[in-house]
Amino acid sequence: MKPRFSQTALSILILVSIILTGCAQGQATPAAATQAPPPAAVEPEATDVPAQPAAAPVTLNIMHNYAPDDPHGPVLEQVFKDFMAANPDIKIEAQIYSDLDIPLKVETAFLAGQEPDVVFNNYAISRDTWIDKGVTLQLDDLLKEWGFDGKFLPAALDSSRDKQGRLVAFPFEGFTWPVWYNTDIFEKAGVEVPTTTDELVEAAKKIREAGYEPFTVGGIDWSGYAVFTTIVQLKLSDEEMREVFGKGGFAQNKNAMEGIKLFTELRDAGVFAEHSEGFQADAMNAMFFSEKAAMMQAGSWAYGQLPESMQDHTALAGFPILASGSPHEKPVIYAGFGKGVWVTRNGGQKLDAVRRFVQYVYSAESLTPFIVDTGMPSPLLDLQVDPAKLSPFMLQSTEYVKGVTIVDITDNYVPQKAFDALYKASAGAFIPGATPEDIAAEFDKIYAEQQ
Amino acid sequence: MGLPQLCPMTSQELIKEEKPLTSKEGALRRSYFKIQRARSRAAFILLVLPAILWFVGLMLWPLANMFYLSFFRWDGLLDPKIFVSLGNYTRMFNDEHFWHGVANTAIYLAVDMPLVLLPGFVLGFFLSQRPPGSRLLRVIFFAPSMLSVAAVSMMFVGIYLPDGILNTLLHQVGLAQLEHVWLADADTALGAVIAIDIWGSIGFYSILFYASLSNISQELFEAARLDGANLWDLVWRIAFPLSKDFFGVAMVLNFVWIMYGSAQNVLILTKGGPGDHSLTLGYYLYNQAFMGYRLGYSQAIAVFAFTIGLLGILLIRRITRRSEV
Repeated sequence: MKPRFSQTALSILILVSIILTGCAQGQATPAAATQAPPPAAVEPEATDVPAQPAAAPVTLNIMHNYAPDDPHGPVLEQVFKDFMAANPDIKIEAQIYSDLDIPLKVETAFLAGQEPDVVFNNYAISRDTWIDKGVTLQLDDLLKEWGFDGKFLPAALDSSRDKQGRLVAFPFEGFTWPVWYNTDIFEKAGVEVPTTTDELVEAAKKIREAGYEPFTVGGIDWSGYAVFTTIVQLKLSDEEMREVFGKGGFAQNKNAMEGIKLFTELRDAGVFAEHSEGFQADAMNAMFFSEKAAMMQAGSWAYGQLPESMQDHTALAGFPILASGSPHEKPVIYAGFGKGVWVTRNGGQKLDAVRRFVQYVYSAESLTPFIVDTGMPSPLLDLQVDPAKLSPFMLQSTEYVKGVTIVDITDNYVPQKAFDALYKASAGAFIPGATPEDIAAEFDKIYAEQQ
Repeated sequence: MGLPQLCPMTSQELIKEEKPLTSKEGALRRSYFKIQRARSRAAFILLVLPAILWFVGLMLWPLANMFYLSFFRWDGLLDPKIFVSLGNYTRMFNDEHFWHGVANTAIYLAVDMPLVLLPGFVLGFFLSQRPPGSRLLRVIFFAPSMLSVAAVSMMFVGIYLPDGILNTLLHQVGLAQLEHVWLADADTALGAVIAIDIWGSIGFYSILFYASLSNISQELFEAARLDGANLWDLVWRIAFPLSKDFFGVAMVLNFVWIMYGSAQNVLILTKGGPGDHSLTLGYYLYNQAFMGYRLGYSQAIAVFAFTIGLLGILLIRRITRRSEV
């Protein structure tokens, strides 16, 4: 009897310990603002980089999501190295996590008094909470003290403010989020790059006949959510979008329902790659970059991943709009500033070192490689990059925006902790058979739960 | 230290002493044994106290917290906890994603356990007979267990890709109609995840069974063979009944792994999709806690999973309890 009891007890212990174990993983999430990126052709400018040494050797803990395989990763790593070489009294220790993990990592560390000093973080989840909880500092005063007043693009600064207008972070990574078109595949299929949804359906049909997948998307995650919201927004003005995505009520909003219906029509017409409902963003990128799909919607953060061999036949443009009755005049894209440099409570304890690092990051010599190598729009008003330094594709990425309408991104308005549930709801929308009513009900349920 | 004064004789001398004890001697003897018992009790408590404290502090306290937190709405580590009574449980039982997770977990258990444990037992028996090359085979069988979940998952991503190894093989052997986008197809996603688990687990359990079956005397099998027993009889009529208790332990381990540990594969490979087609209870628990910022709700799911786990373990132990001979 006793051995049986002890075996059962052992099993229960194992069960308990497994329950108490957790882990985490995630993907990059964009967030953002309302303005186009700046033209990359202004006078070069560097912020002041004072070289006053700190009183004692200091270690700066910096958390970011720019992994080595991310085009931004090697650039930031070089910035760290150069900064430490120029400031031998400061050592940088970096922690790299995915975008979606960073808020939780910071909050957990904050509770233990161990949060990093500086965080490169998206605005979407943390913007309206961290200052009030004491996790990060309000930066309005430091903006002036550190010489950044009038340096940032107004739209970039607007994106970096919370609902009370407080500056939560220094704006860093801007983005545009176009549709990428493989013009070789379009040529083989004998169709033009579409500008209306009708043309998109027709093109998808021809592309399939030519043996390619039309529009690849990671239906399961944030990339699918972005495609879903883009299509719904083809029927919504920015004001309507703020209302519906801010408070819910999809089922009652005629235009929102028409937008969702349009999404299901495109889905059922075979616009999306087969089994998109089960893909993640990585699979989407892989399918497009291996030239198996003709289109994808991906942000400027992925420009640096485009294979050299595809640069001459990849065109950037907006998502096709309705032939008539659309509130938008041209194909649409999202654009804005989604990520900033946050200074935490711990960073406030070593403010001089943080100041020197932040000023270094925004110097022309640090920021320019981000623009040239990754296609990142500059957050600074007057940072100029010589067009001759840009690859034809990067050059294109600065010019195509003239032919699109920039629509407001939903990330700025949805309840901050509803993102994962919304991704799940949009993932359900990609499954064949999901009706507009089902989809709207699922979205409305999420908003009801947030009350 | 004070014993010589209290009791000048050794305990054996005391026991052997035949003449009746005076009342003073009796009192001394009782006092001696009382002190001995107290010392022994104190030593026992001192020895087990760290383990008890460890268990209470690291196991029972968090477990109690799991139950406690399940009655609160808690939307993030920095947010206040709001008492909602049974609100999280009401929500859970009305949450279709939760029920999809329960159903998929049931499928996972029903498919994975027999397909892992039965072949694992047979392979374990095979190894216990020490065939030529059994040492190498033991290493090969155990090798998948030494790979991290992330490494195994990435390996299978390559296998399951639309133009991956599996589809290429199917195409080459003329079974192109069976090709799928395995992890993205609603019909195959859960099966694809389960298959990875089966691949990684059979070898591990075969080694466990081998260790257990090695303790059975080979003479028993020899005698059975002389009596005309075939391989089936040796495995299922002799080896299995003799190691039924251990088989039960292995079942419990496998059951617990599927209930909670398998969430890792789902997280890396499918995130529960497409839709909820590969959503398991363990993954949903993780998802709600760490992605959905619903810490209180996730604990309600954890309580449910814990209860099911406990009942499952008791049921398995009851089924696999070996009749006393």
